[in-house]
Parts: sequence; C-alpha cells; structure tokens
Amino acid sequence: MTSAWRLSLLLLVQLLAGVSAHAQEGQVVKLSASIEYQRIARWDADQLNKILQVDTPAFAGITTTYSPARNAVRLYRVTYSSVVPERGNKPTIASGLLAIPEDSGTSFPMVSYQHGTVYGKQEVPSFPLQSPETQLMIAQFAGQGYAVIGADYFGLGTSSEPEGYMVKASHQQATYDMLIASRAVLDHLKLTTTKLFLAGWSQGGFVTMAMLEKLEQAGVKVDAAATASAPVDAFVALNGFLSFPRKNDASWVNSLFILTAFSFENYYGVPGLARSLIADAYYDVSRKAYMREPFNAADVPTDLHKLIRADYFDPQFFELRPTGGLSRRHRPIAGSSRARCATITERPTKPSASGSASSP
Amino acid sequence: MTYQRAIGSGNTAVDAVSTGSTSHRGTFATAVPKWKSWFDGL
Repeated sequence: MTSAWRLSLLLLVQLLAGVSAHAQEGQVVKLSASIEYQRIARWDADQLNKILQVDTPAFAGITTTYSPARNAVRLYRVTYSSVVPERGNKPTIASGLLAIPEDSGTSFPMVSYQHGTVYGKQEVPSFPLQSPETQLMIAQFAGQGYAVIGADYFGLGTSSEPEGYMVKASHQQATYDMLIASRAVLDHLKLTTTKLFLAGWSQGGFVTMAMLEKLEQAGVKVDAAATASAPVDAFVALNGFLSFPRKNDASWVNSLFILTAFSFENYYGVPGLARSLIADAYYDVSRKAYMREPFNAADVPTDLHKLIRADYFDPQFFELRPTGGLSRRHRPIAGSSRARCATITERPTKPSASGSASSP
Repeated sequence: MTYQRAIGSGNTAVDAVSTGSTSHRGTFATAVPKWKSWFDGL
C-alpha cells in the first residue's frame, strides 16, 4: 500500500469515527426490551463551574463555596420499564438521568439523586436544562468524578402516568428500577461503579429514605444516604401546616396538599379523595395544576383555610381521612443503614404581591 | 434521642447537621457540598 493510500485510509477511518461519535448524540440505543438510553448533552467543566458560581447562587439566593468541577460530563436520558405497585403492578415506562464523568476512569462512585417537588412535568433530572437542582448535582458530583443518576418519578419526565406525588411504593419502584437500568447502561458502556450513595432534597428526601428502605429489603448495599429538608413523615409535615402553622411556612405549601390529594386518589384508588379535601371553589383549578393543564397560579389561594375544607384542621379528623391516614401509613422506615439528615431553620417566606404560589 | 433519630425508628446511625438559617432552596444549596465532603471521606 502506498503512503498516499495509507493516509487516505487513515483519514477515512478518522472521518467514520467522527461520524459515529456524532451520530450517537441524540440517537436512541436500545439495550433490551425494557431499557434504552439516549445521549442528550455534553457539558464541559466551564459550564459546570458556571452552574456552581453563577446559576446556583441565583437559584438559591445565597452564595455557597463549592469545590470546582474538573471534568466534562456526558448526560444520558435512560428510559426503562417499571410497574406501579399500588395499581396491581400495572406496567409503565419511566425515565431518568445518567450523568457520567468524562475522564480517563472506567469506574466511579455513584450518587442517586432524588429530586424535590416540581410544578413542570419536565423540571426533572432527565431534562437537566429545566432543573436547577439537578444541574447542581451534576456540577458538584459528576463534574468531580461521580456517576450521578436521578429518576424522574412516575408521571414526570417522559412518563404518561398521572403524577404519583409522595406515593411511597411507586417512588421506591421508580428509583429502584432506575438504578438497575443505569447499571445496565454503564455495563454497556464498559463502565462500572464502586460505592452507592443516596441523596435528596425536600420531596426527594422522602423518596431517598423510601429508596433506602427498598434497597435494604433487596439486599443492595448503600454506603450512605443524605437528605435535606425531608418530609420523611408526610403526615407530620401536612398536619403541621394545617393545625400547627408557623410564621416561616412557605406560601407554596398549598401545592403539597393538591399534589398529594390527587396522587393518592389516583394511585391508592380512592375516588373523590381530592374533592373531599379541597373546597369546591378551588377544585377545578387544583385539578388543572395537578394534571399540568393551563391554569392561573394566582387562582390557587395561599391561605390553606380557603383551599382546604374546615374539618381537616382537626388533627384527628385529618388522620382518619385518606390523605392523612395514607400519608401516616406509607412512610419510609430506615433500618440499619447509615443515614444522615441535614436540617435547617428556614426564614419566613412572604407570599408574592399577587398572592400566587411561588415554586419550592 | 434527637428528633431525627426518633423519626428514623431510633436508628443511631442517623446524624442531624444544621445548615444554618436560610431558605428552603438555601438548605439544598448549603447541604450539597456537605454531602460531597461526607461521601468523599467514606
């Protein structure tokens, strides 16, 4: 072979390799009948450090010191088969994010991040541009050598289900199956993980402890679990807002009742549950909020005494009704795993001038 | 027994760490680097 031919062949091989790598972006890779994944983006270290230094302080309203990102990250949306335990293991399809450090390593510690309450269907991990909390986890962990996964939960992301907000067994199933699916994708990419950590904020703290319970039952080793502002006992949290209000209760706690009531009605199969809790005047706008249909947030009262029927401000009545009773019975119990909770005193949050609920 | 241990069914492996006085989002922003430091050391 002449040197000119060798050079041409080399250029052709390089060109095809480039085309192949480019084609992978956005292309769906089907691993099995139940798992597929799609590369959705690559964020370099500069982008990740902007998240740490500019975007997160703007989102959180405070400045925090973060260790800097040192590597780029490849982001994948994983789509996987699961089941809805509360609906007789009805088959469903769920989605989530897998973030992989782009460095020379082939084995990484893994963090499963459980996201907090969201209003938008795509404000979840596998749509990271719409999820500032996920961006911080990617920048702080995946940008520094950790693989990060995050389930979108049933009803969010690409799921066609109604949302299963604070529905324990569904949260457990979604996160557990996301872990299994992510490990399959990593294996396909010839990557492995070492340790497994769990972390979650707000609703995600509840989900984290529920996931921990599930993993303990399944014999999956968890090295540590951490939460922040976690309503681990949802009954305590909801009953506190109703009957023991504090000055620092946020204006958006009304949304927690709406999402919980409609989710419990759908997932636990209790027809009329939401209507029994929510005052007639606000039922329709509440249903639209839950279903992510267009609605005016200013139409949802921040005053719980307007949104919730009067009987529910009696703690015993609340506990005996499905919303209170189900949240009481379906709370995660951490067994022997090493868990850690970060807690906080929150400053008062003023309702906006329009009286509409702001986002958590 | 702390509230956190009580709510964790008495699990003595549960630690409570204050992130100080901040907002709900501030809790998260403050907690994340603390999570990282803890995980790094395990």
